[in-house]
Amino acid sequence: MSKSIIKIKNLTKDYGNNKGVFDISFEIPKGEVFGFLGPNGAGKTTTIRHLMGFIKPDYGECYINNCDCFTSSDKIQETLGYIPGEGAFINDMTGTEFIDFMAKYRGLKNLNKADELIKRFELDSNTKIKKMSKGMKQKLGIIVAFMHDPDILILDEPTSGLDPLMQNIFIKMINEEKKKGKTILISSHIFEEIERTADKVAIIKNGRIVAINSIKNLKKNQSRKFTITFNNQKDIENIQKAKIEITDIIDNKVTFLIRNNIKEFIKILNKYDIIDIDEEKQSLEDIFMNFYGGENND
Amino acid sequence: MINLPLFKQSIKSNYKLVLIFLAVLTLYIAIIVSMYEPEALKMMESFAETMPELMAMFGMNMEVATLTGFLITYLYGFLFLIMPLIVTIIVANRLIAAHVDKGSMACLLSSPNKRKTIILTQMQVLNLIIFAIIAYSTIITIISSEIVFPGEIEIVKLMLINLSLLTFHIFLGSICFIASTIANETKYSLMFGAGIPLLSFLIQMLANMEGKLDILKYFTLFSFFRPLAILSGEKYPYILLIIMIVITIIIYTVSIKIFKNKDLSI
Repeated sequence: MSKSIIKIKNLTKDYGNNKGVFDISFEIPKGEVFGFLGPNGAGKTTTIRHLMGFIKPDYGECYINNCDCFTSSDKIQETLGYIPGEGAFINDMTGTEFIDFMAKYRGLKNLNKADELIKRFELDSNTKIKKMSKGMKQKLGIIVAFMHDPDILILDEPTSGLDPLMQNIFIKMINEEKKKGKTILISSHIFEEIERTADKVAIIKNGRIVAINSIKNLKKNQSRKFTITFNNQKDIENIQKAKIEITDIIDNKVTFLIRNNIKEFIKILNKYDIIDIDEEKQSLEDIFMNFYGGENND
Repeated sequence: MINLPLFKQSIKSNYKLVLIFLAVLTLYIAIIVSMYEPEALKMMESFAETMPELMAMFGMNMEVATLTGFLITYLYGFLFLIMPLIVTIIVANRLIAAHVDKGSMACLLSSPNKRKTIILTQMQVLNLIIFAIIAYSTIITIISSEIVFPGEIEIVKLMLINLSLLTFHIFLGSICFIASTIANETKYSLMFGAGIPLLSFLIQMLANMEGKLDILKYFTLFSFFRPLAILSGEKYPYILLIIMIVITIIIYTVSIKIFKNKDLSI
């Protein structure tokens, strides 16, 4: 018997053409927020479908609370909340009708939490689901996933379609739930979203887990790219002699890669005549490639 | 074994369609019953004389001396076969395949309900709807017959025929339902769920035209329903009835098994 709440062991589901998930393994202990990062089509949703008991593994095992995810899904679902990747509801209902139906359907009598969430996310729940915008549907999905106060949360791209304000409210809520000791799996293709909530993060690419690490470690080794626009060409020649890694030079713009040497970088910049400074948003891959590129050179 | 809120919800999303069909059926039954008149009969007979094949295709090829016989010819040859079947095809598709296709099955599965509970619930919805349509049609047939021609209708025979009709439609329903269970997309569910019974009906129409095509009656599901044989007191329709019940139970059992083990990409 394992202490982990969610446990995936060597999970493989081959859809052919290199599609599917291959040999995925990870464990999520109680009270941990686990970020599941990857580009679209990497296999995040396929992995989650296994956890939800929608599909059977070709090979490998999935457990939640030590119960097999496919055969005991009804038992697992008692204490689980799920936000589907694509909000799919029963469209001929209004939001309120849907919430009422889902509550009755899962045997939930107390709707206090649902009401609280409707207020918190400012959802106009009397609208027909058919007529709801993507963001409204996402809010509805959040409410239905959280209304029975589950111990485990599986959230498939939960903030897609939400405006930044609502994203913040959502992230705040996740952090509150985390404090209550909830175990949370959150998938996303945006690093920032995971960064603000997760303890640990796994990156998945082409159906395979490329890396698993704690957010702390990642941040410690995080590198940044700054693009500096110089006033004259001579400075560019000079700065290339400094001990700062340069990734790119285009005209009078030079891109630097900064790891733990930001102070030194600023000191050096002080000596030059610069016009502009710009921080380049780092893609997920950059972050991981920097991290792993630094440790093992493959 | 069933989930009551889901049962109610499924009824709720289908009752309007059923009501429309019941209204149409009411109208037709009333019209057909009132047509049992010597003059109208003569007109029908002259039709039959001029276009025997066409009339035969719609199952209208028997002597219509009694009211019951007349109703079997004109109601049970086409209307009572096709109208409930259309409702069955639409509803069966909505109950499972449409939920999978649209993804709302994800909502239904992310709850502490077993897949078996979900599918049993939807099955009962379909069967209740079929039962309601046949029971309603029976009542309307009896009432309108009694109003226009008191004492003319053979109620016991009619009830037996409708029992056979109900079993037949539940049997067809099980085919639509298993198609809805197997398919991941609505179009495939409809292709088989509607295709098999409707093709069968087409074959039945051809088989009704006497002659060489008679052999086709062994290739259509509609041969399971023999109202005229029940009317003339033969025993074999009851054997067919038992066979239909057995096949229905098998199909539904297989449906449950398939759905329980199915990969649902929702």
